Amino acid sequence: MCASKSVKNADFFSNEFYSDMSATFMDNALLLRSPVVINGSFAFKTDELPLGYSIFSADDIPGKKEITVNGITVPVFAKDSILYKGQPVGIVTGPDVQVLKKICKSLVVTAAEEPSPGESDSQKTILTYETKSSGYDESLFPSSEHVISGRWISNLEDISINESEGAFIGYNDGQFSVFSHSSCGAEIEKNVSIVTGVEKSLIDAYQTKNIKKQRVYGWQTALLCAQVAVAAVKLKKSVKLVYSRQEQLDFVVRPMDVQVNHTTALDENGRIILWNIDVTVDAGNIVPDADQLIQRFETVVMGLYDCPEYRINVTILKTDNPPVSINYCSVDSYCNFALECHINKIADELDLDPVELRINNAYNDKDFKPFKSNKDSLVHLLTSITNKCDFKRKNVAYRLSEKSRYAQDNISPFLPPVRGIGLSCGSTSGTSVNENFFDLPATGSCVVEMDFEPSSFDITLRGVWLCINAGQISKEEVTEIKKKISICVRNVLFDLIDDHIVQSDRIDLLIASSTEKSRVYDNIASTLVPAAFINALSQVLAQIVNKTPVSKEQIYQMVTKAQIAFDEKMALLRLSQNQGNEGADADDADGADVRNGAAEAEKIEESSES
Amino acid sequence: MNISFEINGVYTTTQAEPDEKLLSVLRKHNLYSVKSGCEQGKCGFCTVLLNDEPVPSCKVPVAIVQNSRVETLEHFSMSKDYEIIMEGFEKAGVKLCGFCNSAKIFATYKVINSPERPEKKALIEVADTVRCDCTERDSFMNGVYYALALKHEHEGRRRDGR
Repeated sequence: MCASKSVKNADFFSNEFYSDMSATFMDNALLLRSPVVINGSFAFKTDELPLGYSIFSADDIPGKKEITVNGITVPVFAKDSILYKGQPVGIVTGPDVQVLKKICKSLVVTAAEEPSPGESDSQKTILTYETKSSGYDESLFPSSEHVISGRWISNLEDISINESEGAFIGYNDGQFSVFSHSSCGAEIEKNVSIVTGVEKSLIDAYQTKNIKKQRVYGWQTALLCAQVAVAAVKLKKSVKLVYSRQEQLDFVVRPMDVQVNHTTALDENGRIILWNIDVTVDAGNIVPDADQLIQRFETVVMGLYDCPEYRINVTILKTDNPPVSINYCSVDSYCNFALECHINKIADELDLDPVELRINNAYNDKDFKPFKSNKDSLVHLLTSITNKCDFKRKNVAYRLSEKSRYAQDNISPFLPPVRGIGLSCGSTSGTSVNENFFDLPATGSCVVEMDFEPSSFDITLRGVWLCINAGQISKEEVTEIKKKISICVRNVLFDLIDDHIVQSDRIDLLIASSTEKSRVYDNIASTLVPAAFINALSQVLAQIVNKTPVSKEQIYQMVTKAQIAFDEKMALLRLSQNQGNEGADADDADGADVRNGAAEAEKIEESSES
Repeated sequence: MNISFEINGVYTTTQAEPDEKLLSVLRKHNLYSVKSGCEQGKCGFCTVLLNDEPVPSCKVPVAIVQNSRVETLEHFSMSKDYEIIMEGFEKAGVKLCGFCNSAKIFATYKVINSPERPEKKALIEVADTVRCDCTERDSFMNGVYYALALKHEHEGRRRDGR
């Protein structure tokens, strides 16, 4: 049971962010994180500590050496082995953060015993897996009209910037006040008491101001508070620990690494008749609620589409990577990214209209499982968005340009303007699965149109269009919803390309109201925008992009590879033309050479496309 | 090494490593309006005025500010420009969350003190440098416009900036 408290004013607490709090005799703290995984006992050492600096490890914990939150037990500091890269082996405290950083840098961790020769560096074990199928027969694939497969990788991280995780523990005459982002005050108090051996009545936990809901499991903040509390109790003074931005990214908001393989068989009408989906998730070393996670993947991986015969195989891997931030809405986002990119690949390879393909394969029953939406609603969403941005005309025009990009003999494939447009649709829900249905799911569709500048590899968005079924809403709520979604879209765009800010001057939002219950629309942008963006990028580059986020380096590599293939093709064509001119009256052998040259050029063209 | 510079109108000598970030030095002086954001100079949450020019203090080694003038929001909030900016924000319905205040206020300060009336494109660029979920971009840009109008009104300037 969580007990939420607001920050109370006390003499030495000046501000409402925990990182702005200070006390007269206060130490700062940093965690000593092991850079290696050691399966067995270990030892660690640092440079000599200056006066006023201390290190506390598992041996210094006065109480229990582990905490239990939501049924998951984790050690406060690594003791018998180091489970994952970056696991804290201790905490170092002192007045100056710069000195603490130097001490952390000097950390050396050594294994007590030499690792056995067969022991691999990286550990991966299957934590759990589940297969769900309906009338699936793999042998039907070879006899199908069209078989299309694709592998989609997603590990979008939440890099929205706000106060990083940490804790401030105020010590005042035997009383401990714990300030953190956690809203589960009772959980924090219980665990701090168990670990430090301090009576629970002497510990008060407070939630401090937090701009955005952190993607953190309760156990992470509880563990952090317990670690800082160990130092505060030993030193009998106030201690503050603030994660650096890099620690925040590596250990708090680290995304799951999700790989989805789709293999689909389609009939001559473009209807999916056989579908095999393999999902592999690297969930790090500590995975709470693995069963719920697997259920979520199974439920949403086919999205709004239907197939009579399918098999879904979800595998959760436990690895020696740091724990990940598990958020069910991000599962919807990963699955929808893979699904919508695959649907687009089908449309591309079979030369089908992406809108028609989606409608043809949409769930045909009265209600979609699990999103409680109906086909008419999806048709309405797709029609509205495509009409608004003139998707069909632009898509045909850009596709023609994409298809002929490498076929025009004397024109560079990346002669500006290079444009692309991508479509996606999908559903998400902030709630967990309830009897195979989600409560209050939001359904929407999205189109992203972009310009690509081949000389600087810059991407400029010409527009982002989003249409959402928000359920029963008033006119006043529409403005508020639009503002919120607009912020979400901008945040998602920030994350799509590493080290490059993609922004759009034009974000058009269409909010469709309906008689259904009002929906939870907070995460709809992260579910729809990445797929539409990557689809547009694939069209721009005339190559399949199967990963998000992409880096500018990857875009550069793809463009360069295509450019080299094009140059080689042109050289061969010129060579064959020259040979043809010289031997106008030559024999058949010369003609064969010309054909060989052309065939070679074709081969290069094919390889560059593949 | 000892580094002497002016913080919020007071000449100060501080002991710091030359490559230490100005951000951490200022926070050591309990100037908590300077927030630690992306630590890469992109988000603007750690912005201060260095010789009256907004800079991300996380990218400034403290040795550079020797004999310079540094102003944080604690001191700037007593100025007339701050009043104007906040009034502009209020008119546009911009409510600052407390974490991005330095970014938004100093970005606006630069715009309203520019000798020329800024174009929309330039304002969009300014708005895109501030990454915070508390305010939608258009509202923030409206706030900047209002502040700009108020500044011109205060200085008796015409709409074209002259």
